[in-house]
Parts: sequence; structure tokens; C-alpha cells
Amino acid sequence: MMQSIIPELVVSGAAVFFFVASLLGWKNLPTWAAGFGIAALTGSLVALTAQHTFFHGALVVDAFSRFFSLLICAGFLLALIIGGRLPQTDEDKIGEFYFFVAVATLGLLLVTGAAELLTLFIALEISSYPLFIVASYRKGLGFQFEAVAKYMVFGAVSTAFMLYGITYLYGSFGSTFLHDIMPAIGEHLHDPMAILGVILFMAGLLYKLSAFPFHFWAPDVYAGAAAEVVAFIAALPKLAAVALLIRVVSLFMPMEGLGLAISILAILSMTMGNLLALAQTELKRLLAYSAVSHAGYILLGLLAPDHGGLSAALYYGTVYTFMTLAAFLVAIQVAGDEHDISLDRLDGLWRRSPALAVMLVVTFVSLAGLPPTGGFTGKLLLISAAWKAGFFWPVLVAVLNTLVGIFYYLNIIRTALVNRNTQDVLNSPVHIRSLALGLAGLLLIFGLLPAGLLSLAETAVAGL
Amino acid sequence: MTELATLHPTTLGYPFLSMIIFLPVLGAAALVLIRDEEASRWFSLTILTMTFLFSLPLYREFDPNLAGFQFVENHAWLPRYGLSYLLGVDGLSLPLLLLNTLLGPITVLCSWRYITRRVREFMACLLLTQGILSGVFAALDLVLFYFFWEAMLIPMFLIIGIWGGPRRIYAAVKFVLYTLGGSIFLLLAIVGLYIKSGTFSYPAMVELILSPGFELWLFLAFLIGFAVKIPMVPLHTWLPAAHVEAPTAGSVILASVLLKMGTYGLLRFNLTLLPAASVTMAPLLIVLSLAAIIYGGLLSLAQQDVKKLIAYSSVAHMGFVTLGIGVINLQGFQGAMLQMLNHGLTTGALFLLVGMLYERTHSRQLADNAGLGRLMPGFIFFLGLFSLSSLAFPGTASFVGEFLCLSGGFTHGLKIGAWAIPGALLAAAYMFRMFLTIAWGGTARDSRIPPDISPREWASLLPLALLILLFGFYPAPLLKMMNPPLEAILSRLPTGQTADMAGLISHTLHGLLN
Repeated sequence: MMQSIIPELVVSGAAVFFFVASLLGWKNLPTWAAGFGIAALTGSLVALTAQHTFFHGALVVDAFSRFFSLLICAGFLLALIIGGRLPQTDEDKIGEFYFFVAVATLGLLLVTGAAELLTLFIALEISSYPLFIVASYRKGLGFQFEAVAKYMVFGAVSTAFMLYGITYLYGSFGSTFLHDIMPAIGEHLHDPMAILGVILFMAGLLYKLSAFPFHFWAPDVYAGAAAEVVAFIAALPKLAAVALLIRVVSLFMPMEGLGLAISILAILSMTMGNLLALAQTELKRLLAYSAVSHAGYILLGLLAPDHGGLSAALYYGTVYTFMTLAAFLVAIQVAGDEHDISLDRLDGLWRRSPALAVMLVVTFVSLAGLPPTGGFTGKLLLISAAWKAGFFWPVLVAVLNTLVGIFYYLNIIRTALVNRNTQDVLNSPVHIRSLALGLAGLLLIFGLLPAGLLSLAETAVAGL
Repeated sequence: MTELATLHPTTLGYPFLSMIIFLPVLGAAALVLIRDEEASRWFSLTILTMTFLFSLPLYREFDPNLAGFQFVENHAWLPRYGLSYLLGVDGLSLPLLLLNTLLGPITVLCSWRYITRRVREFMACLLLTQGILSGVFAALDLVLFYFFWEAMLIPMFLIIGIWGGPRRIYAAVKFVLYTLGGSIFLLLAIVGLYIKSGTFSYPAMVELILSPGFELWLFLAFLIGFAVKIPMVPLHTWLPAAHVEAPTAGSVILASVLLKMGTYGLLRFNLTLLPAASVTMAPLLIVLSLAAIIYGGLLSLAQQDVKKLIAYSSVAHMGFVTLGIGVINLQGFQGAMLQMLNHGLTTGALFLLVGMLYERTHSRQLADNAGLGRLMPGFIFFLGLFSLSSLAFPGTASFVGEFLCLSGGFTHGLKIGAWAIPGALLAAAYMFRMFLTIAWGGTARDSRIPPDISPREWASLLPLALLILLFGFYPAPLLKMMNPPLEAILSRLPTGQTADMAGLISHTLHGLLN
């Protein structure tokens, strides 16, 4: 029983450790953080096949939740390594930074296993609140408070919607346990209250995913908070949102009008994100808008629960996590002390750091959805699933959006490879450079040899 | 199963197709280890020569009597989605593959002194492009095909964008946007075929029966994807920009191989997988082809920049290729295939010559390069030969191709042939205008005498010249190789009269509503 929740235990241990460490003012915390990250990743590998049910079925450990715990722990470790010595964070707050990040990770791990709506809600809140605090730990200036305010207000509004949704669902189904709700869905396919409940419930997830219309926080938070925090916010909570979309929302997909609602959301999210990203000159803002459009792609998978759409969404979510972390790896390396990371900080990257430039090209080709990278394979799986389920128009919009996207992704590749070098050589540490090449390799593997990850994703979805 | 889709197991001991594709790709990766610029040139030349040598056994062992695919390599990739690593060549793809491998070493030779900045990176891009282009012609799985099709974008973007002329970024971005704008429709068509067939394997799709409306939509989607690459009027505007700005090697690859991807795709996918829609839509192809032949020719006649002149002549020549495909008879198909190869050899060589000219006089304007005949006899010899080939002079390879295209046109309808004839005359006009000016035009120039072409340049031009003469007098081996698949494609096309426009529109609308 205990071995099935090793990742949760390790991350809780990390939280306690960093709490004490921040009180006692211990040094060398980044190394400890990496150590805990490695332990969590190892733990999640050990627990990969575990099965258990806790609290009368409110929290389940199954193939699905362990798949996500593996991803979340990997993302946790990577985000900590990429953050390095936390160059943009207030020195006094480093211990607290790690404490809060560990708590947020714990929340995310719980979210993926929650099979009861209130447990799920509480776990989601556990993952959100620490991030509101961490987002304000930026050195100097003070611009970050606007970002934090937006992050919190939007968070509060969307979770309020979500809570409303849960009450409606409870009203319709008479239970908050998924195993009670599941068999009764067939009787509520045209029940307006249940349908409204699902749509409101989704609000909280769309916020986490930064999908339209709950994406307004993203650009400001991405630009305002310290880059190492944004790396975490941009990658990990999205995974939890994907998990919930697949575990909970996909159950309700046969309901009347839900397919239409989600395809409209997907279309708007993809298009809005891409069009707004076109005009950005700051790297983190650009990534924020690109996140909005990628959220739209992930929603496509939800349209086709019976045609492999869920495993496709899982696949794309995974690839997206690594793409985002890779993009922030570069962002943190070129950032320096500047508040904004303008695109010309990437000028001549090929000369300044070939390893980072190679990874940047692979990452942005992948974000643009071109072969031979994971971004393309994921997108191919998503659009063939959605088309198979009969949703042609969202597929068409997704494909057209690739064309819009290439414009600004190509611009970044151009900046890094074609523009002349005007800045100093980047002396990134060896482990960052090898991590960069490793991530590039991983994205290529996801593109060229999708079988491994896809079968993991399919096992996870099949276990639901 | 038709013989068209038969997979013949390989008769060779080694997976030669994979080697041809991945040797240059691995070579590009290995260039990271080489620091010296001169060494990287020699290394790339060696790799691409080896690749060319590896492709020769394919020609020797190829059985021209079989219509199906030979030297097949089949490995499971993602079986549940019907994805496989499936390679093979037939009489359509093998000549193009060989053209590509032949041009490999030549592109290195022509960049030897032309590229002086970031040589190592340039060679890496060149090697990548070579491997990927071979992949396009050998891939028999639609996703694999698309992988190669799109993977070519980034190295080509860099070749134009880093080593190109003054407006290189504009040209490179335009190239990528146009190509991607077309290939997203290609992706849609591929996924559409997958939805109906449940597999991405090309041979398994040949027998697929589709509803007429859906078939028309797929045809249009494929057509847009390929028309950008060919390029067909009115989607050709990226081509002059890309050609003018690209370095010589980039222009050669673009003109000789990249454009053929489009026409190859038309034959391979549109005509073979969507026979009914092909017959219905053939008039569209013919009209666009005639437009390209005449419009391209007129534009070419008006150019002062030699490179632009040849770029527009490409539009016209590719118009002949699509005309041959559109007339739907055997002569037309044969002409199209031959014209593809000949255009690859001829226009590639002309771009090489323009590159040499530019290295010497630092101008591509006709007026600045006038009257070189007395000073550079060797250069003028090759320029004359390839100009004659470009205007389809009898005895050169293009004559056979263009003649077959035209005779296919006349067989299809007198008017079509009649419309294409002025195009052939225009070709003579713009080619002679260029050649006469460069050879004998202008005033005497004594101030700086450009040196005649060097042995390295001879080495890059001679193989092309020999092949052009060889195919001009003796195209039989090529035709023998192409005939079985072309006949098989033709036999599958319904013989019915092409639909009238009203019927076409109602068909199309019907497909949309379903």
C-alpha cells in the first residue's frame, strides 16, 4: 500500500525538509532540490504498476494516475534543474520557493488520482495556492504583483465556476464519487442541469490549461514572474488539467451539445492563441500565447474518446510538457537579469552555445508541429482521432493554425541561427548543455518512435 | 491487387535505400566533429559520392519489366495505426532518386569556393537535404512521405536564409510559408485517406474505393499541396524569389529535385489513388499548365537578371510536365516523366553556370555579362549546350520529353497542342536572347578578363552534359523503366469523358455536405 504512493511520500518529505530548511536558513538548497527530484522520479518509476484505492474510492492509484505521477515527477525534476540557482528569485526566499513548489507538486499528484469531485477540488486548490505565492518571489522591481493579482483573481473565479459545476453535478447524480456517477450518465444525456454542471466544472480546468476563455492570466504571469517559476507553472499544472479532462470530462462526452461546446472552445483557443502570439516580441509572452493555442489542440483529443483521442491527448500533453520545459531552459539561460526576455536576446545563439541552439531548433520545430518531432506525431494522432469521430471543422482549423504558428516559431529559429551574434558567449554549465541535448533527443524520439510512449498512454487510458 | 501495388522483395543483400537516405544524414551529424573548413568540403564530397555509388546497384539490379515496387524494405513502425517504415522504388521514383544522388556531389563542387562563410554548417544542410530528398522518392508510407516532405523545409530555409543574397530572409520565409501552406492540405488529404482506409501504407491504399465527392476533395487537397511545389500558376511566386536569393547549390537543388517532388506526387498520389477525380479534374490541370507555359515564357523573356530568367523558364518547363500529366495518355505521361528528368539536368546545369558567372563578374545582369564568348570559350560551350537543351533542340534530352508532351497534347485535342506551341517558341526566344547576349552581345570588355572554367567546374558540368546528349539520342532505357508503372496507372483511369463544369460543382458540393 505504501509503495503505491512513494512519489507522494517523497514530495511530502521534500516539502517538510524545505520548510525546516527555510526556517533554519540552510544553504545549498538547489542541490537538495535536485536530489529530491531524482528520488521522486525513481519512486514514481517503482510505483508505475501499483494499484490501490484510498479513502473509500476518493483517491485511486491506478495505471492512469501513476502514468501522470511519472510525468509530474519528471517535470518537477526538470523544472528544478532548469531553474538552477534560481537567478531571478529573491535570495531570502529560496527555501520557501522549494517548499511551495513541493506542495504544489503534491497537489498535482493528488489531482491525478482523485476519483471524487470534492477531493479533486481540494487537491486542485492545494496545487494552486502555493503557486500564487511563488509567482511573487521575484527579485526587485515589483511588476510581478500585477501578475500575481491576475493569476489569483482568475484562479478564484474559475474555481468558483468549478465548484458551482460540482454542486450541479451532485444535484443531478446524487453523488460526488465518479464510480457512482459513471453508470448514471446514460440517463442524463439530455439533462440540462448535468450538462451545465459539466461545462462549469470545465472552467477550472480550462484555467489551469490556459485555454480560451480563461487564458487572460497567462501572458501577464509568464512575463511578470521569475522565469524559473514560469517554467514550473507553464508545464506541470497543464498535466493535471489534462489528467482531469481525460478522467472526468471525457466520461460526459456523450452528453448533448458537449462535443459542439468543446470544439468551439478548441477552435477559439487555437486561433486566438496563435494570432496573438504573432505580435509578441517577448519570449515568455510568446510562449504564453502559444500555450493557449496548444491547449486548443489538446482539447481536440477530448472530442474522440472512442477513437483513440484520449491517448492522443495524453501523448500530446506529454510532448507539450517537455517542449515547454525545453523552451524555458533556453529562456532561463539567455535571460540574465532582464525583466523581459526580448527575442533579440536569442541573436546568434548558434555561435554562443551550439547545444542550446540545436535544442531550440528542435523544440520550436516541435511546437510548430512539423516532422520529425514529437509535436507533429502528437498532432497527427489528435487530428486523425478527431476526424475519425466526425469533427472535420476543428481539424481543418487546427491544420490551418499550423500555418499561422510557423510564422512566429520560424522567426525564433531565424533569430537563433541566422542573425549575427551581438552578445557574449553563453557559458551554460555542462549539465544544462547535456540536458538540452537530451531533451532535443527526447523530442525527436517522441516524433520518430512513438510506439513506447503511446503504448504507455494507451495502457493508462485503458485502465480508467 | 493490381500489379501497381505489388511489393517485390529486395534482390540486394543490403538495405540500399535506407543507406542512401541515412548516409548523408549521419554525415551531417558527423560534421559536428570536423573543425576544419577544407576538410568539411572534402568530407561532404566523399559522403555524397559514396551515396551516389550506393545508388548505382539499384539501377543495375532494377527489373524494368515489373510495375510494382522493388528493393522493398518493410518494418513495423506503429502497427495499430497502420504506420510502417516502408521503402521501395518503381520506374517512376527510381530515375528521380538517381537524379538526386547524381546531383549530390555536384552541389558540393559548385559550393566549393562560392560558400566562404560557415562552410561546415552549409555542408551539413546540404547533406541533410540530400538524404531527405531521397527519402521523399523512396517512401511508400504516407506518413513517412510526409515526414520527409516537411523535414526538407528547415535545411532549405537555412540554405536560403543564411547563405542567400541580399533579400534572403524574405525569400526564405516566403518559401517556407508557401510550401507549408500547400503541405497542410497534403496532410489533410493523407489523414482523409487514413480515415477511409485505416492505414497509411501506400500499396494498401491503391485499391481503395472512395465516394466521388470525397475523392474530388482529396484530389483538390493533394493538388494544392503539390501545385505549390511544382509550382503551378498562380502559386509560383515564391519560386523566382527563392531562386534569385538562394546560393547556387540551393538553386540547383530547388530546380532539379525539389520541384519534381510536386509532379512526382501528382503521378504517385492524384493519378494513382484518385483515378476518377483525376479524369474529372484533368481540364483544370491542362488549363493551368497552358497558363504556366505561356505566362512563364513571357515573364522569362522580360527578365534582365539571368537567374530570374531561368527561374521563370522553370515555371514554363514544369508547365509542360503538368500538361503531359493532364492530357492523360501514355505519350503525355512519358513526356512528363522525361521532361522532369531533363529539366532537372538542364536547369540544374544552367544554375551552375549562372553561379560560375556570378563568382567571376559579381553580377547576374545580362548587360554586365555581355560578350564573354571570346574570353571564356569553355563556359560558352556549356552554356550553349544547356541553352539548346532548355529550348528542346533536337538531339538534346528535352526535345524527346517536350515532343512527347506536345504530341500527347495534340492527341488529346488539337486546340491544346496549338496553345502549347507558342510556349515552345517562347523558350527558343528567351534562351537565344540570353545566350546571344552573353556570348556575343555588348561591347568589348578588356578591363578585367574572367578566367575560364576550372577543372572542378568541368567535373560538375560534364556528367550533366553527357547525360543530356545520351538521353537525347537514346531515351529507350528510361522509357523502358517508366512504361510498366505508367501503363498500369493509365489502365486504371476511367476512359469516360470528363465531366462538365456543372456536374463538377454539384459533385463537389455533394462531397462538402456529406
